[in-house]
Amino acid sequence: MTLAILKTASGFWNPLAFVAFFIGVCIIIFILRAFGKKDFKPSKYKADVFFSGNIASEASRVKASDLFWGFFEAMKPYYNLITKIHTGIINDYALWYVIVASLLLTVLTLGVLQWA
Amino acid sequence: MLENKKALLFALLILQNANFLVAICLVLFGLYALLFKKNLIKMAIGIAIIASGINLFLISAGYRKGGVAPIFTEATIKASEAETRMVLPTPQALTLTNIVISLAVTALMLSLAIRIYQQTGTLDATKLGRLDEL
Repeated sequence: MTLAILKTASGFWNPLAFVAFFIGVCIIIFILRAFGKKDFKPSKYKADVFFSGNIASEASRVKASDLFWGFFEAMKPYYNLITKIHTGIINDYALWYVIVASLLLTVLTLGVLQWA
Repeated sequence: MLENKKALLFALLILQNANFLVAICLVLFGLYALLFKKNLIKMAIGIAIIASGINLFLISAGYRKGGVAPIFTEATIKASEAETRMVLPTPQALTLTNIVISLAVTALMLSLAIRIYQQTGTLDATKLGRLDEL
């Protein structure tokens, strides 16, 4: 049985290369793991949820959307703009679609003309 | 005399490309309905008109004067003439595919419009924009 190398325009594909890559990644992970503390012992408190340094009572609830709070806060100017654009009127969305499609067509046409 | 000749050539150019001009007009009409009509049914009609314009464009692009169907077993021409007489089947296949897809898309849009009307009692896109205010 032969494992043929599949050559494409953007490189080659070979299962053996993937296996070698996987083994290499595993070796790197084991080396990194070896740097860990030798005297680490799992205890009850070490597995507690980190709640931004605050004392989290058992009754407190963290919403799934709160996980993205930092993300939304950092990109607030972008989200403010995007929220304003979202009018909810389907004609506006169709207009956006037409604008983007015409831009893409223009870029494609220019590209084709350049290479023709 | 020269002016007449120019006008004649222009008219001939228009007539020769009438298919493409009509296709462009259909797409523009459809886009107008899609962008400026507030009724969902009219928007669906606009998209159907755009699909018709694209069908006409594809069929016109694949047209060959005096061409025959690209079926070798039933061809009435010689095998050596196949390259110059037979039409390209790709635009026709694409058009057939587009007809089927646009039919399905129209059916989906109309069924959604019916459901929206049943739920909200309106087909006005500007009123549907704020569903919480209905």
